[in-house]
Amino acid sequence: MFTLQINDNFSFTTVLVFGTLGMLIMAITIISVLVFHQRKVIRFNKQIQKLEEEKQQMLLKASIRSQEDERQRIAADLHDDAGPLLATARLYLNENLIHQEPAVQLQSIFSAKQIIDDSIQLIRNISHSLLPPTLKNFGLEAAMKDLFEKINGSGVINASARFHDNRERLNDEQELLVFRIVQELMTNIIKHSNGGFIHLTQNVQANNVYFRIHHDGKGILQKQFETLEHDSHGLGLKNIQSRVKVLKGKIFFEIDSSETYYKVTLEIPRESTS
Amino acid sequence: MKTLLYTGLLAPILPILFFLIFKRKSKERAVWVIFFYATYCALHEVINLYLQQIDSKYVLVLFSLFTIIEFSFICNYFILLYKNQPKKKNVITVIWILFTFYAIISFFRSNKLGSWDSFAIGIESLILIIFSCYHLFTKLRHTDNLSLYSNFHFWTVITFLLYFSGTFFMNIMAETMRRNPDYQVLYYIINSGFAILKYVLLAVAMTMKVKKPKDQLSDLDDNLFLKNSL
Repeated sequence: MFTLQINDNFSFTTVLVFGTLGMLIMAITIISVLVFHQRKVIRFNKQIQKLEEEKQQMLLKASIRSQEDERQRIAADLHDDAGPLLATARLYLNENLIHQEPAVQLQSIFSAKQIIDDSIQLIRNISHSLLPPTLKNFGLEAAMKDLFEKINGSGVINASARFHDNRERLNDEQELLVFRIVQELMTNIIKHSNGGFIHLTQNVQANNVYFRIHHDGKGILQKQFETLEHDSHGLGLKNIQSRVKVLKGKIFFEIDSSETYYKVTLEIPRESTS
Repeated sequence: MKTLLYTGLLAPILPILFFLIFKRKSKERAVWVIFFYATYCALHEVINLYLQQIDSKYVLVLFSLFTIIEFSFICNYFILLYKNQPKKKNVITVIWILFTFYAIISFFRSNKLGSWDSFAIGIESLILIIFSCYHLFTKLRHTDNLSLYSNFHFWTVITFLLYFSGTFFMNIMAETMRRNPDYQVLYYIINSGFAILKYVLLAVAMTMKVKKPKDQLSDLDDNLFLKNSL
């Protein structure tokens, strides 16, 4: 039978006391490790939570700033363009017009009509910049192609878009957000990359929709994106990130293996169409 | 010495009392198992005291029985703790059956010889120390933001870990040393000391919230996340 045998010359008290103490110390050590580890994890989680809150705050601020910028741009467009146009039209149609010669009257009415037409066009342009009618009426594919054709038409850069599988469309809200993200990416590429071409492809894999933009200019990589996104000046990138977050998607900034093209991939999980 | 002995005898009342105050309406079976275990311990202490006073030869029978029943209670507690994890539950069940089978055989053998079954108690202690350590290790892997100290299971498991670690050497030396008067003194000190600690900690556990095992992350979760990640 297995029992602890004690030699005559070796005190059993020592074995018992030290053995018990040893076991007790082992047990206390295990419990202490667990307790300290849990405290460490809680501290770490709190830090992560704090960082997440700060990030949210930053995105919120960026979103508010972007809204304010948009409002200021609309206000400036209305004040600087529509305002003077309508004021000029009013000048043509002043009270003295009835005392003028019929030929002068006709000329004034014609000029006023021209100015009013210009104003209508201007207001239409402002409205279209807020919500592209092609997107609203014909969906994302048409809107993207329209956007790329307009860029291509400028002659500065060769732009093309191709949708491989758009049988199941994203819902309206998702399409608008994707359009805004692509718009922002295109603005950045045109402004900063000095590239010669941009190509957008759309694809579907499992329950995700992928949009990938290739360009041959100077681009950024994921690490730079994450740095710039936290930078106080990277408002556009912050907007992209906040929109990606709303879409519950992911965005990847990469370079291809031959280091010739930069690519930006947007991964959007599909939601039911509204 | 007598004070320690009597405190040790009265200590099982603490968790029973705390159960009746805080947990009598609890639907958690694990809590009830601990309550019945504490009740059984109290009963055992009373019978043990009586048998020792009349100098009965059945004291050793009582201790052998206590080992089997105590092990069964604690194994059942761990089975309930892992009720949503069949693998762990089955392993504990098999160990429980094997040990009980061994302890019963050992019980008849040792009582024929009139000896103390140190081996069975030693194995029991080792198994329960391993179970407790394993449970704490899984806690270490899946630590959440909830404080450990406010959890019934944490207090119960550390009770078993401390109690069986503390009494391990005393129990495995019992067979060879039990007739030695010095050992008997140490036995009462260590046994009563750890018994008091056990019942105090179980009483503390009774005041804590029971976090249901289903709220705990299973071991499969890591694989699940890995599979779904890009």
